[in-house]
Amino acid sequence: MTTHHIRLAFDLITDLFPDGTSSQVASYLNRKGPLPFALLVRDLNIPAVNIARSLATLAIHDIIECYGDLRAGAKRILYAFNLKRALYILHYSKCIHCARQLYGFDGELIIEELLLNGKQRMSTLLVKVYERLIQAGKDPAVHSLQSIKESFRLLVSTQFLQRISMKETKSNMPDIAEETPTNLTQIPELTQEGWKHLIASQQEESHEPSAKKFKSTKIIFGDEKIFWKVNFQRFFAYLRDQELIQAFTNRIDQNAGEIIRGILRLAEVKPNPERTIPVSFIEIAKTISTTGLQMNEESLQKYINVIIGDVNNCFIKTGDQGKGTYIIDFQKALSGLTKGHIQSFLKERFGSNALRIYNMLQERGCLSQKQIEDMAMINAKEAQQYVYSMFIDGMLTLEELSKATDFNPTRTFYFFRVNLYNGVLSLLDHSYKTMSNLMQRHQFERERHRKLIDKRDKVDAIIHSLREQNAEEDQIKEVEDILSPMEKEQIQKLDAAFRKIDLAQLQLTETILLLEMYLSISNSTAPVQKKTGGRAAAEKLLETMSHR
Amino acid sequence: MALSHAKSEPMDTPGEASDFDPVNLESSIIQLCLQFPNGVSDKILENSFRSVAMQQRVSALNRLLSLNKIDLLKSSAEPGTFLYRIRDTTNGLGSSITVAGGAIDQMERVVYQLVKESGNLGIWMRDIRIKTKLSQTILTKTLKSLESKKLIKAVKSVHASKKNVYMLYEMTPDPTITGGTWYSDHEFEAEFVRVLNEQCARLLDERLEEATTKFPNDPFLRRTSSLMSSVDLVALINEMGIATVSLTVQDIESILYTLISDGKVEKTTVATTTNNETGSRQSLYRSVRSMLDSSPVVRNPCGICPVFKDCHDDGLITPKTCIYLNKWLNF
Repeated sequence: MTTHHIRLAFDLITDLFPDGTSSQVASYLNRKGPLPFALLVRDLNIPAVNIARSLATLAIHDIIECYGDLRAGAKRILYAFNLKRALYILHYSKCIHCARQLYGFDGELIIEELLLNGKQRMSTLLVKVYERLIQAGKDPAVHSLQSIKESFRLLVSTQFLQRISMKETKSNMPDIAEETPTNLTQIPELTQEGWKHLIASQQEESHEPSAKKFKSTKIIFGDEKIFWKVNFQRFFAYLRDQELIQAFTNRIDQNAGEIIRGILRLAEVKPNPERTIPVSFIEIAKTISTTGLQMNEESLQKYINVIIGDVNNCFIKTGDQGKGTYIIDFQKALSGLTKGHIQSFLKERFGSNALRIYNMLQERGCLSQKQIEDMAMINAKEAQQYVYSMFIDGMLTLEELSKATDFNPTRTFYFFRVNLYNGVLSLLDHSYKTMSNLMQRHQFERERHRKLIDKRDKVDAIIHSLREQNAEEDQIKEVEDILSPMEKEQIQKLDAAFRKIDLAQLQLTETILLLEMYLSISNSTAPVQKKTGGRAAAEKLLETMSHR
Repeated sequence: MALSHAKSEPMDTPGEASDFDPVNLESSIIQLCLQFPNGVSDKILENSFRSVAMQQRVSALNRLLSLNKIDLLKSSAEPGTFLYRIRDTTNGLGSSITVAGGAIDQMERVVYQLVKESGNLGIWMRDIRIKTKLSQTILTKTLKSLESKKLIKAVKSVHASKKNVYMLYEMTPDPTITGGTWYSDHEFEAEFVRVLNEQCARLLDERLEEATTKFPNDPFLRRTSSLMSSVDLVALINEMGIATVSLTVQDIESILYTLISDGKVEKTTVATTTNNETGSRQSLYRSVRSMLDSSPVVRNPCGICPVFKDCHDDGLITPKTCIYLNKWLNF
């Protein structure tokens, strides 16, 4: 974790929880480590009520974790800041977009509600989503509570939502348990009484959109202790799959991308972060035929033969049963994709010659400055410049091999090496800082043009209300003219700039997600130490030197 | 030492004239030297002219030496003895050396000889100094004068820029010294390499496009028909006449390696029935498309910002007032 991670995390928290205390509490916990409530109250110059409220909100979002202090016999509760979870806020918009693509408006709103509120019961969620749909002017006939529940069920069955049950075993601290896989996908059956009440409130709300009445009456819905939250890992896996499909589409063609999509869908039944379950050729052929792709078995076989050797060889044949069984190795796929990102980054940042040197080092393992110059076929001086600037940026690592123990520069060989893990760390840091920069700029521009934006919002509100009252066009025109042409032009410019920043941020989250996933997967499964022959090369060099 | 010896010896016996016809003796010595182009030792001379006194022989040799008809050399086979060799007049160099004359002339000759022996590999100045035992300043002067007469030339080695090697003026240096095809005037021809790199990529790209349009529905044939062997590529490139010299397969393969490193080309090695110089293997190359167009990081100015490391929340370089961002956002 670097300063850029932390800085970005607090920017995001301030953005999402604009109460002011939340980010202060989180930042203090980040600096000091896990602390009990009393200490927080003592150290921070904030009313205890506000701290408690902030802690509660953040805890619901899992950004702050609480657990019993083991030394004090689990009697004292410690609060700890989870930076990694805080950075997930970055991916909220992607998750929402994803839900919308897969499950339409209902799905989108369910995910959005959950993301905004952390954890919720199904009954509350259904009502909230329904309210919002009605407010957005959707047709109540199409979007009923029943249809929302159906979307919810789908989201649960595809594990985009995670079930959490609360057992209040101890008096001071509820025990939150993520459920075992067996009843993970079970949806609580709402009691008849509760459901009836929901339907009733639905009819009522269509006339009167106030939910206060509903909240005041205590109805038992039958899901009091079952909460739901967004399963980020599932969303991330889905987004990763999309990237992989895109990579195959770019490398081969549309059909290859579709085949990969089919395979990934087949493997969805048992998600595993490292590799898919084995999928047989027959199964693939069956899925492909259902997607409406015109492809016979022969050409499918041809495609599979081509796919096997592409994108870092992540598609692997494991057996012959069922006309051949295949798996997709996500570790290989992710390292292939991250390599693609790093290569693109190097090409744009340092030029294609730098990329050439990087790839050469990656293939050959380790090379000395002189070897790099000869093999890259670039001017020696230029090559030096590229190597050093990449080294400074953390993309290359330096290995020193001294003939003597004193590491005298004249008798030491210097070898450059590519370390993908380090490179990813460096690129990730760069991405986070870029993200933070873009956010800062966005914030700054908004502050700078606050007056103008406020004015525009007011004008828009007036026009909206006038339209609702069916006012005359002339009247609307008059209101529109409150903004001078200069101001209008400036607003247009501003809007375009904001759109640009938003788009850049959204795209950047893709890279960040991919790199983070690569890091986590190579942490969990220790990367195999690749023998690069660096030692042998060095020995050979030593030999030739001594012969001279 | 050898030189001073050679110089002083004949000087010991000047002017001791005899009634023997010196011109006749001189021409006989030349005749003898012509018979032995590798040099005539003192012993042979002694045996050939038994009737002639030693002084007369010496004076005749001295005359010939001063006329530059013969050379006096130190024998390598028997140390301490000398060889007389007929002056090589075929290439007309003798005349130009004789212009200088005197002691300098002698040194130049020795140096010239050494340089000539080194052939197209050239000889390092330090090696000349060790062999001739001349002092640094004298040797530099000698080499300079030889260079100005266009008898020898200094060639910069590509391996060490400070290391000059000397060779005869008309020699073409060995590729190990000049660096081969990619060097001209001892400088790396980056432009030439770049052009070749582009041309190879273009040829392979064209092949890929052709294959894509030919087999839109067959990925396997598309892949195999986009392959091109390095031998084919060499023929095509040579035909185009980009290079003044004819390129070898090795040359093009090293260019193709840079393309592989650029991520534009893939290499496959297959077995062939025809045996070429690389054995029964053949390298095939094909152009590939990249996995992603561009990473999102570099689609905004921060990704490629040159002062990214100095960018902070506040201060001179900050995202709030960044000119790159201004330009990007059209402010």
